[in-house]
Amino acid sequence: MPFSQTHSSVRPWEAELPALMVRYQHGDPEAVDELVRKLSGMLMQFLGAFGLSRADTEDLFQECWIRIHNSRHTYRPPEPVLPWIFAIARHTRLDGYRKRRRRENRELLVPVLAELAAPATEAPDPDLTEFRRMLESLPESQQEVIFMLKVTGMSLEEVARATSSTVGAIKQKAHRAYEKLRLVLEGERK
Amino acid sequence: MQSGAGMPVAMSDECRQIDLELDRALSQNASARLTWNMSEQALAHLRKCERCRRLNHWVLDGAALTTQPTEPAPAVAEAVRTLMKQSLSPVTPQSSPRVLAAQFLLVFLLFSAPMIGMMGTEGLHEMKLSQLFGIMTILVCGAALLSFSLAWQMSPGSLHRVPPRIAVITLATGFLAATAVLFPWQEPQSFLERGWSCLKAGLLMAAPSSLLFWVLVRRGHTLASGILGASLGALAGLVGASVLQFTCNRQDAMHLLVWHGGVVIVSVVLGVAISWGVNNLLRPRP
Repeated sequence: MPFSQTHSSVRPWEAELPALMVRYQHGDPEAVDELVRKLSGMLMQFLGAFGLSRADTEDLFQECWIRIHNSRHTYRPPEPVLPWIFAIARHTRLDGYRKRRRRENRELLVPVLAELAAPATEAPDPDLTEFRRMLESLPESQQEVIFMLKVTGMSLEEVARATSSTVGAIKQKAHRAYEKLRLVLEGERK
Repeated sequence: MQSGAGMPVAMSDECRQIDLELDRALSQNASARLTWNMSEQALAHLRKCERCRRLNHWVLDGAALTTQPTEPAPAVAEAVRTLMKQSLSPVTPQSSPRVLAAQFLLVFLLFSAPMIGMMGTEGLHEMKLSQLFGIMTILVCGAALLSFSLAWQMSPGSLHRVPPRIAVITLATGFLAATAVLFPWQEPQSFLERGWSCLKAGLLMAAPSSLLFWVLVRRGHTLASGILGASLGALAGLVGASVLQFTCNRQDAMHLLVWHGGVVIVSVVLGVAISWGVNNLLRPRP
């Protein structure tokens, strides 16, 4: 069954990122505005994925930008920007998770109804709901890889860079995720 | 393939072909996936097969969901911008991982060469040519591997050709195998006394070199501190083990494995423990 495909180039806003980063490294305040405007939505989506409250997501979001700012010298133009950003964001999320675990171990947990009732994002769109539901059926490491591949649109090599992994390991995780997804879909069809 | 109820599900050849093509689509970036064109034959199969239709929708249309990003509250975004602008000074981009790795290797050599010079080369004279060549290969390759691993770890978004854990495990396995094969197994004489002094000397050499490596590492942005501590400890331990290899006159397998290899193992354990302690005990709690 032959399929044909059309390759399009990198999205225009993504192509602008290395030049923006260079301006940011030179101390241009307008570059800060542009970077925050272009990347905040994606970062919020990534940090808030998997059921984090909006308040916690915004805390992580601020922490993430502080880390990005403090380590801006480690970006090397013209390397791709998204893997660099997501490598930092990924560890901000992991550190946030560990902090919450420590906090939960020390404190007596009182469920905050407002927080439980309001997830990170409202999801009235049935497609989005199904997408989330399917993501949640996967182990967290596979969720992360699928999120980066599908939602951010990064290539396998870029995801490998963002997760400090190898291309082979990412391919394997993505393949396992799809195998699991196929099983879920088969199960639902039956 | 099993269904949710554990019953085998028959998949047609067309379904399998769709799976293969979707695997290929997965390796494209989002924009390429959105413009992925299917043949009439494939589209006809999608119309009659719900499983393939949903899987196709998930793989190819999932990227379209990025059109619904979650924006932060305006006040939060403004706070971030203000904070960043307050300390916005020009910075020089960090050197490439190759240059960083070369710096680690240089520190390794600058530390071990004078130490060998000071402590003598008794061990060198005890080794046969094959032993010297074999153990030198392991030590040099191990130092290079760990140097690159540390350089990749301090550069977010860099492509790790070898994962950090694998680098440490490769070094340990290589040292173990080379020593066990190349050096003779002799009756241990004053095993503890001689060994203990080697371990102490090795660790005393590893400690100051680890400080220098740490100064280099601090210039980057480190992500996973535990494995970074292990890599840094392994490289520092390798300085100690390398010096001992050339200066110690006990060149038998048991002594080398337990006491010289022990320097690397203790350094790795200390590296992990220190990084854990710094992360969990010294940093302010939320």
